[in-house]
Amino acid sequence: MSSTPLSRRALMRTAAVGAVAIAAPVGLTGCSTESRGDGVSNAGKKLAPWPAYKAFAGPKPDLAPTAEGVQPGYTSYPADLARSVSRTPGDGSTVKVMSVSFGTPPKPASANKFWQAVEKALGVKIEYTVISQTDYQKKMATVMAGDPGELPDIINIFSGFALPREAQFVQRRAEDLTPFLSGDAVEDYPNLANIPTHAWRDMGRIGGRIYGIPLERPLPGSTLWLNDEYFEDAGMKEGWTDQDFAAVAKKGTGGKKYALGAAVGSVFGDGFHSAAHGVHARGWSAKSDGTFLPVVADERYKQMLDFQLGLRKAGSYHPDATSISQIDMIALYYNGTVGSLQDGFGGYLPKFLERGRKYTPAPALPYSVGGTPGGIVGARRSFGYTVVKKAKKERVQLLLRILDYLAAPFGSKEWELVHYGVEGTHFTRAEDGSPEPNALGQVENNTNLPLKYLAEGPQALFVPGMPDAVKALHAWQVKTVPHAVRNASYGLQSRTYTDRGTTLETLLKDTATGIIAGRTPLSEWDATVKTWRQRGGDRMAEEFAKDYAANN
Amino acid sequence: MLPGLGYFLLFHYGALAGNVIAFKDYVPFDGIWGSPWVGLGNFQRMFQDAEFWDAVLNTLWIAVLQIVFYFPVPLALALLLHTLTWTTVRRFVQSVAYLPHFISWVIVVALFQQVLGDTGLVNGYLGDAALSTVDIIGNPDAFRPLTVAQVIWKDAGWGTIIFLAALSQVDEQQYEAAAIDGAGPWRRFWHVTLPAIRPVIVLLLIMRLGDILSVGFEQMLLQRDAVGPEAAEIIDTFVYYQGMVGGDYGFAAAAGLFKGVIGALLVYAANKVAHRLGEQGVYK
Repeated sequence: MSSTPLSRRALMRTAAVGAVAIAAPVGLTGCSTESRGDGVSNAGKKLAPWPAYKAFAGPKPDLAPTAEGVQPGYTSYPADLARSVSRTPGDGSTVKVMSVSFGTPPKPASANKFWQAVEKALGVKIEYTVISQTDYQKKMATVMAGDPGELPDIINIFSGFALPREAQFVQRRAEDLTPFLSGDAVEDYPNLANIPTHAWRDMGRIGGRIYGIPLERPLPGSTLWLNDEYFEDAGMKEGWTDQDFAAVAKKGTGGKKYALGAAVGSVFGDGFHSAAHGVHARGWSAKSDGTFLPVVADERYKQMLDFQLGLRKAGSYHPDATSISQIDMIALYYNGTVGSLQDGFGGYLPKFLERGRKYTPAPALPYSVGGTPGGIVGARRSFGYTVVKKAKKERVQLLLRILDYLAAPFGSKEWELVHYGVEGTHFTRAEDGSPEPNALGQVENNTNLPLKYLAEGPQALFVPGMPDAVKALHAWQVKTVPHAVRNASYGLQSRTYTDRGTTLETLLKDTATGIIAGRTPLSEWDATVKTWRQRGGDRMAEEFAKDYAANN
Repeated sequence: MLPGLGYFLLFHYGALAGNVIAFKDYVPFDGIWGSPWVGLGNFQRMFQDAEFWDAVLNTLWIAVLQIVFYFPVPLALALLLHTLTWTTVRRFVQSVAYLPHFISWVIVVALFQQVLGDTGLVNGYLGDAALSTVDIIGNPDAFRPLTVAQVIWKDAGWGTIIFLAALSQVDEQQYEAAAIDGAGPWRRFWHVTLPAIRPVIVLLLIMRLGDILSVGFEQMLLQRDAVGPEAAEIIDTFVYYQGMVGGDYGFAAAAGLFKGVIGALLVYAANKVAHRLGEQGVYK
């Protein structure tokens, strides 16, 4: 009884609701239009060609990228920064933008020199709606349901959550960018042309058209980040098996320390373990004949659940794994309470830069299962995408020029401004020439003013002042990238997924979490998968297969 | 009168029209009238949904536990406070007992976690003393009693207000007369206090019945992930996950409407019973 006891309003509300319900005509027959929502599918549509890739001729990397997806690595900061944008993109007007954020809110523009410097470079006033990652889903639900006239000019659609009816929303409310970007048209925006095709492809088309600009990400996705020394001490060795992993985790747990950290909603970090078992957690695999199989119905995923249950039973997980937030868990990782946690590969930089830490962060090598070498999580190569509100042609072009500026690649002057601010004001140069944030740069930066989620150039491996870290990460990628396990549904449209995907995913995650936590028997899994199939899983398989066929 | 009426018309009765989306496949960016009718489709789907019934069952369980174990607590506390004659102490105790009501659920849940959690205070002591630890937070079997304990800690003090107000209305002379007639404390309570505050108790109980299917949305939402939906999904969190998170607004509205109808029927029925028993109830 959390409401106040005497609530007249509550009474009137309940009574009135009853009255309306009784008055409502029973048996209103549906006149639903089945076609609604099918417009998002790419099947049977003419597909707009992807923007023609044209690489930026910038500084050469010290460690070479590979076609398979190993990133270029820079062991030192490029001495000669290139210019990637020739003229100020803006016209002095005001641009409203909105994106997810993983930092604390920025200081207001009037007191924020970083914000002001970016505004000056872009030639526009920026009104920024910063949405904390924890509020993103709720905020987007209201934005999507709200007045179309009130939408910001530039909206970041973050891929961390499946937003309900996302594709329909984009199709209905956002500008179709095909005429501006498809094929050679992208030439007008050289930094957008420098975004590799794999990122566009994983963003996907909607109804055959291009609606967004992808945020390119490296192939390695969710990664088990180790405290290297912690795991070495517990007996980690290269070429480990699942049994070795379990033994190391058990040995590394004791007192008030736990080898495995996991945050709420991560299903005890099932991404890493699924990939080691050869499947993409709760994703899809495509057979050679084009049929789609859900990973949740794969025996290997169930085996993985059993394995994680064993880890949990052995006490190797931090006990708060079903309730603690990722941010709090990272703090426990930094202070040595937990020896590992699952986080995106792209989050390597803060891990290396974390001050006062006395250990080496390292991405874990996958273990083998029953003699089969494990894989790593193959990420969607687009960490969400950015859409533009419907507008006149000139306005759209201006917004794209702004995004083009923000998408400046590593090794360019524009990249440095957008990532580190102004030399002398926000950073000084270290001996190797890399920018080193000063006190102001610690507060005014693109973590708090998250411009990097509006547009960003393709990512390169670089840790300022730590060439060894770059070499280690590159070497790890060379070893693991060929064994990445991808989700076959990336970039594909399914009406059922966009309508019910979120709820269906919740069903799976809740049950999987319950099984590993030991409160639901493993035998329940098959029944859950059956329910999931009936409620839309099977339809999703058909729709993905159709869209896959249309794209290939 | 008029501003109050306007408030109700606009924010309560007017907003009720929004319930129409329970009969539609509501797509926010198509608007209420642009979304197609599905008739009773949402209700059909809901009644066939095992998770919905799990949520209803959980809600009822928690509601019953709260009525049995929580509802009497503020009354008992009020009676206790009422017997305190030293007003300074009484005011102090009253204030301390009220305070937790103003602490948000986020904090309350975190406090319980810090004290009773696996890595919390109690288990820390037990672990240091090499005793076996207690598994409370995150244990689905302990969840229902835990939620009642949380509600008692947070709201029992607040709940005393109305009882105290009722108690203060009891005529002192009646106590004196009873005492002169030789009635002890227990008889004075039974024959004077209780009859005097019975209408208030009945009123609050009926109101509580109307709200029976609302058992603390925030409280459950915050702890749902720790114990799983089997234990912590209630109708309100079900509506939240289907509607706000899943974007299935029509379906969620159907579930919410269901809840409202049950609540209205319960108030109606409880009021009838109260009338039969000669009580005034909420309305005549």
